[in-house]
Amino acid sequence: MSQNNFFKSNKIPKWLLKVLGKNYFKRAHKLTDQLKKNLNKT
Amino acid sequence: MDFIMKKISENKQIEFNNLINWFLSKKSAKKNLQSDYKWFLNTISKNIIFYYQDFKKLKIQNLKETIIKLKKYDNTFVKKFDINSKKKNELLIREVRKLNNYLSFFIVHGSYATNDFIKNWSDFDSVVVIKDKVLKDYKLLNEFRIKMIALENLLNKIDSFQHHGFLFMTEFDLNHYSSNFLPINVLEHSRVVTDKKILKIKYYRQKKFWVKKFLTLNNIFKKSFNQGFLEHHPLKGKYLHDNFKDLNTMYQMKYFLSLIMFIPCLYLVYWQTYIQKIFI
Repeated sequence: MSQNNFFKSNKIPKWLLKVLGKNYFKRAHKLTDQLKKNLNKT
Repeated sequence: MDFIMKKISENKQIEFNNLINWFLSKKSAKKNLQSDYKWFLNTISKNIIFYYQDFKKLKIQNLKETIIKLKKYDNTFVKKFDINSKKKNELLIREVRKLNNYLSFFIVHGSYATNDFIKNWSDFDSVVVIKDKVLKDYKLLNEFRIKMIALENLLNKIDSFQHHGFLFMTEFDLNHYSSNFLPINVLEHSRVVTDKKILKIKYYRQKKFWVKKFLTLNNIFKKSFNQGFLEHHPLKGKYLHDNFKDLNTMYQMKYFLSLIMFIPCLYLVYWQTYIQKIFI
């Protein structure tokens, strides 16, 4: 599906489902949590 | 004491900037204007004028200065436009040029300025610097507001899923450029639509500000994970849920992805390394 089509329908395209994978909130949280530790060291 | 004064001044400046950005955007517009809402808008407009005049008396010491020579923004350097996008973009730029009476600068930054935008994906990012004289006369400010809302409607035709409108600043902001504003290095890669090409900025940066911003982002992700949805940028009352529970949320997903891409910029800016998303 082209980008043009999914923006018309607001549907998340299949390729993005595959690329992003599940538990995206958890992974984003984990990543920023790890980086936060480095900021706290300074 | 000096630090406390500086902090109070910066908070005032940021809140004032938030108010102007709300007032001049579509967010402040209602379809059926009731008389009390008209009165409310007029009152806000008058208060902005009074507040700005007082505000200009604030003195923030020890500012650094930088001068940026801006390149001109036009459609000739943009190679990726198809005919339809080109027409819409040209129309927008033509309309901006009609606003010279109100604008000190209309700056395009981000992918439209660096020519790496992706059709139907990239936002049109801009900074609008309002002339001081507009902030001296509430009628002129009201007139400007109506024109900017019309321009924002035009902007939505370029990208209907744009998450933001224009970013407004005052001439005072240029002379007291806060940590809260767009990183200055982003402006170095920007282009200008209006006439003036030399952008002089007096700025101050607070390291703590970026830590705070990073922690806010961390909290957003933590909250989203705990409650199972991202409580930001809903569309038609719908939020982005975890694990693709609702597939019809691409607009909301786009906002989430923009936060993800913002992580390295935010993290590195703390270490005095300024990068743009394009380089990630």
